[in-house]
Amino acid sequence: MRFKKIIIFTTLAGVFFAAGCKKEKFDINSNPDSVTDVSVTPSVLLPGAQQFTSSEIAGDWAFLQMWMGYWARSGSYQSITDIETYRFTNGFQVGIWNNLYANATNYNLMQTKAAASGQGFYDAVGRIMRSHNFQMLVDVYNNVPYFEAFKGTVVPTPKYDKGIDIYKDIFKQLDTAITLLKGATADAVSNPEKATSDLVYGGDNTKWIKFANTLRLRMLIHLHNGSATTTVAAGINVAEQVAKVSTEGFLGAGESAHLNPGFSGSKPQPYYRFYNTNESGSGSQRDQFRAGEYALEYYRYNGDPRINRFYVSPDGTTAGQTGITFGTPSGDQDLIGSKLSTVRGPGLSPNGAASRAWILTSVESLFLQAEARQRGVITTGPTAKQLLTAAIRESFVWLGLTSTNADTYIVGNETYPDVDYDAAGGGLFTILSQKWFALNTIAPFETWTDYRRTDYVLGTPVGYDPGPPISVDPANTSTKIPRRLLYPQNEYNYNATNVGAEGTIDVFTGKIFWDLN
Amino acid sequence: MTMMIVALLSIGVVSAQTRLVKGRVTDSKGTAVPGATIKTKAGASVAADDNGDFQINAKTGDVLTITAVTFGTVTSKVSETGSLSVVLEQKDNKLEEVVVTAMGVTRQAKELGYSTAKVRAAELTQASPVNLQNGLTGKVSGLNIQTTNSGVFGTTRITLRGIRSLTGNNQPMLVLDGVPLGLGFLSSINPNDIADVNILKSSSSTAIYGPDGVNGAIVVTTKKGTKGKPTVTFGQTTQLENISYLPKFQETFGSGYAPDDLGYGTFEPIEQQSWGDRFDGSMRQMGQTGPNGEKLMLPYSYVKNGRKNFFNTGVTNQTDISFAAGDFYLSAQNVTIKGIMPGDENNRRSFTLKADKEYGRFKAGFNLRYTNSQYDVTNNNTIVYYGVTSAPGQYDLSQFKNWRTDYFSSPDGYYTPYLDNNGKTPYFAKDNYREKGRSDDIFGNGELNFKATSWLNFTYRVGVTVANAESRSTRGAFNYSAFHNTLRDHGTLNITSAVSDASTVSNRITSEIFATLNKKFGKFGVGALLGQSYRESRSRFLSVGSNNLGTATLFSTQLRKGEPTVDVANSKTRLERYFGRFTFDYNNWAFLEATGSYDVDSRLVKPGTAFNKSDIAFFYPGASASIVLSQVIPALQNSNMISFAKIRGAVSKTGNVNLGAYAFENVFATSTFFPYGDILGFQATSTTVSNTYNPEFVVNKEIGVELAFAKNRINFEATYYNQDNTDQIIGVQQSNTTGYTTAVQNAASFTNKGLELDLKLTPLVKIGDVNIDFKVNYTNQKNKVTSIVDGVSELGIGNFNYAIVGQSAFVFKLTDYVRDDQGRVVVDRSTGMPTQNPNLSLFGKTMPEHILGLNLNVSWKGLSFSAVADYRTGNQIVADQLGGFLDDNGISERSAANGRRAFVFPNSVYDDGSGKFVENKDVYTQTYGRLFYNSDLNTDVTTNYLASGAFWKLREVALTYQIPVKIFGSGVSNVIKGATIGVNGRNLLMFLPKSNQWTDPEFSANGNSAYTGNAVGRSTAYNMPPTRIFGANLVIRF
Repeated sequence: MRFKKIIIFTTLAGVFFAAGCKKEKFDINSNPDSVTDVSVTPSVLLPGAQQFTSSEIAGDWAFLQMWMGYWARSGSYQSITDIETYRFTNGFQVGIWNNLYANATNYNLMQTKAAASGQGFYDAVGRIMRSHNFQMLVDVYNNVPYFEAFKGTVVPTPKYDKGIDIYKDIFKQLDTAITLLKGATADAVSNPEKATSDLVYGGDNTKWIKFANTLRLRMLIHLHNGSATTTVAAGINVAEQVAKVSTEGFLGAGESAHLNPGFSGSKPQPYYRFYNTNESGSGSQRDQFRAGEYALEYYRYNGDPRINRFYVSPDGTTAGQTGITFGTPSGDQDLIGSKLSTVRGPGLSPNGAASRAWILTSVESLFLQAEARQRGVITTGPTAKQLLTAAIRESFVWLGLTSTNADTYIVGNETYPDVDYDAAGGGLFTILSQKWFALNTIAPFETWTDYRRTDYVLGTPVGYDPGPPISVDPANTSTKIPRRLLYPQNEYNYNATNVGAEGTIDVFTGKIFWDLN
Repeated sequence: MTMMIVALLSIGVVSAQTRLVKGRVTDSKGTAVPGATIKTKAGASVAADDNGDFQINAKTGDVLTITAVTFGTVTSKVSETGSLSVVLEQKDNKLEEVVVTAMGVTRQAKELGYSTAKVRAAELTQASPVNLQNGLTGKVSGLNIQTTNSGVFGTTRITLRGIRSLTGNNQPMLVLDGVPLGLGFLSSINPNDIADVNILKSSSSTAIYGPDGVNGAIVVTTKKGTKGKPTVTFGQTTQLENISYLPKFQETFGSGYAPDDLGYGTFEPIEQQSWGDRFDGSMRQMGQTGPNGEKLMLPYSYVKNGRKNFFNTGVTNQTDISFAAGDFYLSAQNVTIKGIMPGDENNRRSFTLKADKEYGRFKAGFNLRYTNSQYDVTNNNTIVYYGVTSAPGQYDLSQFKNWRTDYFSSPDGYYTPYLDNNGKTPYFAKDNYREKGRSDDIFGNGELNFKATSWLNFTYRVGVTVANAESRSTRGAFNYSAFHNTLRDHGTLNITSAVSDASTVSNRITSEIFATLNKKFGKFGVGALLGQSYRESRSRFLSVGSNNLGTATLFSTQLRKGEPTVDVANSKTRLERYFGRFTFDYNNWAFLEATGSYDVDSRLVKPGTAFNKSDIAFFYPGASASIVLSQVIPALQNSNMISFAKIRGAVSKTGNVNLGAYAFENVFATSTFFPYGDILGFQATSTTVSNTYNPEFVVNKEIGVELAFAKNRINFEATYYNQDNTDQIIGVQQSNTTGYTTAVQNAASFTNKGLELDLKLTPLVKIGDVNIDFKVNYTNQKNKVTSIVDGVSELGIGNFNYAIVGQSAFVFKLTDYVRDDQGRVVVDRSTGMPTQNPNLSLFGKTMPEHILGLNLNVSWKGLSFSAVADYRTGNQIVADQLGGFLDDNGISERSAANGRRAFVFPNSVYDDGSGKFVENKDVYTQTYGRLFYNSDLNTDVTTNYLASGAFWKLREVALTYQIPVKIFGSGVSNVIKGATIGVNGRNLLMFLPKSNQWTDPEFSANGNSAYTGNAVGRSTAYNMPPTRIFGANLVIRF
């Protein structure tokens, strides 16, 4: 009897042991909640990436807003030593690099996925937007990893490519994108949900072609230095590139690359979120920045009504705009935040939290065309002056004013070369000055590029008082604004050999390939 | 069978002279010896209950033999009347000691080839700790329990023998009554339910637990019912908690910001920073004038404890009641913790039911535990603490308590507007930002034993834990008055209400079935344990909330404006294991053990691919041996000096899948604010995964010696270990131009070495009734990173902690000043100012190299005193966040070190123009006061906040007295069997080196997280201040 029991128990146990678990029981390692490589589609990647781009444009460039004279640190805040003395380490503004690459990673994933599944629209937009990010990267860092980028663990240490080679490849990418957008695979059938997931142009192929053309023009203009009519940066044939601009032309009035997926108080517009009020009802950078006295002075002097579209005065009146000079040491009770104009102007967020965000504006497109026409890059169509007037009007309209306001402003400033194209010293200087007035806050990275590539310093011709908006921080010894940024510390940590091959970087003498000044 | 019945009858049939004899067994200190066996000559036998009490049928004049494990044997004659009082001498006899090892199997200590340690209930609870972690601190070599923050949750980080994973989990497993559990369950165990804790220090001792045991195990055995009369134990402990340490503050300068033309600080009534002029005691207006012309006038002088007064005295109340009878144990505990942060409260209630029964060859038992915790805390310690710590010295913060009624205390009229994003005022912040939560943890296990023969036994055990945690975080609305907005030109944003509900359900089912065989063949013994286990862990997280409830006062997502925030996550893993252990012994002095495990792990399945079970399985072996020399070598056998000598050694390999569920898939996260209506938005995360993963392997080698001298009065134990950790699965940082900043892959290897020494003097001194025991434990641990991935020589894991090939894991890399080759700071010859070195410099280790624990126990009759102290050193800490924050605000002692005037930078040199560095004696700094201390030249240089991590702490002090209940007469002593009163204290003293001016060196950011907590040594500005605890307790047994 005892023996029997043992046998029964042992057999039962044995059955349990042997049966164990079937291998199917272990096939549970697939994520039930998260979107993964398998389930992700271009139509869910595009909206996130576009919004990220607009957010990066609105939020990552505060240091340039200050360097370009638009903003300054509020007197209530402690000095931001690295920005205000132009002395910085490899930890400076790494967000620029990180965000541009992270965002480009998503466009790249989307483009690769779309190309594999024959979705010409997503493929093309992916190429255009990835190119947009790399154009910005080159303009900040010159040589950066490009051809070997985005290969994950396959190429853990991507080589650095020459800025000019990246520019050249971007031109090719834009060619391909335009071909794709004109092709059969860019239709709504092949590209599900493109009308809703393309936050910028609602799946409008023509608009994207215009965007590509405008981006090409932006880059071609970057190649022009000083007042030269031809490019001085060797290696790119501008005429050939202009010839590749497709007949759709450039972004015109009202064709800005805007997006508004449904911004609201709880999901605010990026600019509003950073510098006014965020979704939690506060804002970490809400009070850190105030109007730069440097820019204010210009608007004030010209009676430019845009002053009240960029800034809000402490008392809310249009007459009370008060700024602070960049680099002013804190502690002066007359220059505390509450006594200065904020940078929360209604032109930037006309509908508060629910306003549209921007990527590339029609205003900039018109200024690019004006400069291209002035320099002879474009030789047909409206004259440079006509294009400039259109650009100024578009700037006013974009900021919530009217063309009539623009015309009044132009007439009121006749003979001033920063407004009047025909005034003595006008022409190219007028175009660049107006571009600097118009792209305040909207595209400081472009006005920084203009500062670097031309003889003009912002709104001021060479030798003309007051010179560039150099920091007045007592610890600052520089009379120049840096011409590039340092590579981030992470590159020295994790891609040391390749970044090391770029040598020692000097932010004042190290230049972007197109910068010959 | 027949024999047994006769035996039973012979007990049942009581002869006329026989009566029920009562008695109590205690040790020499008067502490009860539960489980002591009392035998009559006739063969009857009973066991003493939990309180040492027993009852046995015997005749007057019978001689009873009383024995207990680890105690000697005594005999006692039954007298005519009265009860027996038996005192057993503790032997700590190495030959007899038993330990609970893996699978809940009890084994003799002498057999084991690896190091274990046992902590008894009395040692654990001597100072009435709220949780087991506190009760273990300082008592076991190799065990490092780091209290990473104070507060009502008392977070700790526990490691045994250092680390085995650079970025993964390094915390040991918990085994409760044989059932493996997540370590998180530790806090829900009532310390008074514990009978003893065995610490299995390495993967050799936990080999048959496999990956779960790779970091060692804490094996908790709880009390059970004991035979005899039922007993009820009631205990009450009350403890008070006070701040023991605050950073060193300056007491000279009040609020202000801008210096005057001569560089002296000037007063600023609305300033939160302390760069003002010297305190002079004059009456001054603080803040701004109120709507009705009210002015807040205060003397401009330093208020001692002005910041400290914000905090409360914490109160912990602990009530225990337990009932033990027969095979049955029932207990309940209620703990209420009111924290030093005013309003913070955490309550824990737990119930335990444990029972077992034997039915012939079958034995069945079960165990059910339920713990309910409820807390109500401020969920934004950071902003509260910011407002407190940065407050200028002229304020007594407690005057701003009534923010609802007092104008100058409300956000409307608070003296400073600069706390905008930091909660407006600390009192408002703590009341307005709250989190309430509860957790319900249920643990149940059932066990069935079948003793097939005298040498074959089967066990089936199933354990289930269900943990349900839910919380609600809220933010109240606040609207500023119109008057307030006239004071602020751009207006202050009103605060809207917000709510977030989160719930996590996790459960874990473990089943184990195993057979144990033990057979003797003459002098040879053979044993085997063969088994299979299966475990499934699941968790599910859900949260829903709204950032905008407008001005609602009801915190419910139902009232949301706009869309709610929603998050969901699930995780499920399965692990199946087959394991075996074979033991051989010869003549009771030579022991050999071999183990093997074969694991099948669902986390190794690459989804979407066909696989065989063998693809996700891995095998690993282990072996250990021990020889009891004192039984072999004749000279030792009869030695009066040496009572026990043993040498041992172990080698084992353990595989560990250091991955979460779903680790083969690149995940895309919802982009910020998406979805917008119907529009979805996703983006790649910064982490990329590999195509294949192998388990990490840890090879543990250890040798040890155990010696006892002078009749076991002196016990010494030494262990040396060496662990090779290879193929570590870690997230390797890479250039983000690759698309990802982190690639999770099998990469790094490192070694881990250490020495553990334990010396026990029991007793150290014995004079009459005075008995003094003394125990010392010492741990030395070192490790070295041997490789990372090709082309990568260092790995940053956050909080300045780096693993660098050739160095210890982890070392600090910090921002420093430019120095000459002698380490002196190079300053500018004309400005006297140092410069920041753009490259990070290497500094010391972040984990202590030496840990020393001292345990003292003095007893005299019913009075006993115990103390535990520990010392740790060999590591550094960085308090850059707290230190930088204090300097920034002009609060720290440092910020006033030079009277806020120009100074010669300490230990500095300058280039004399020829490239030669000369000592700087006379070049004064160009900037000073705020312009220096609140500049990045000071606060960004992390080495300004680097300090030795060494400390001495007096962890526990307890004094208890056993009240001799008999003195109250038999009316009392018939009801109350015993009573103990005691006073105790925790963390009463802390000694820090001079370099540390900031906080408890144990405090650490993320310290309580199993995975991110590896980066220790860097405190945050928002760790709560360290505290000390005093208390008293009363225990009555009925």
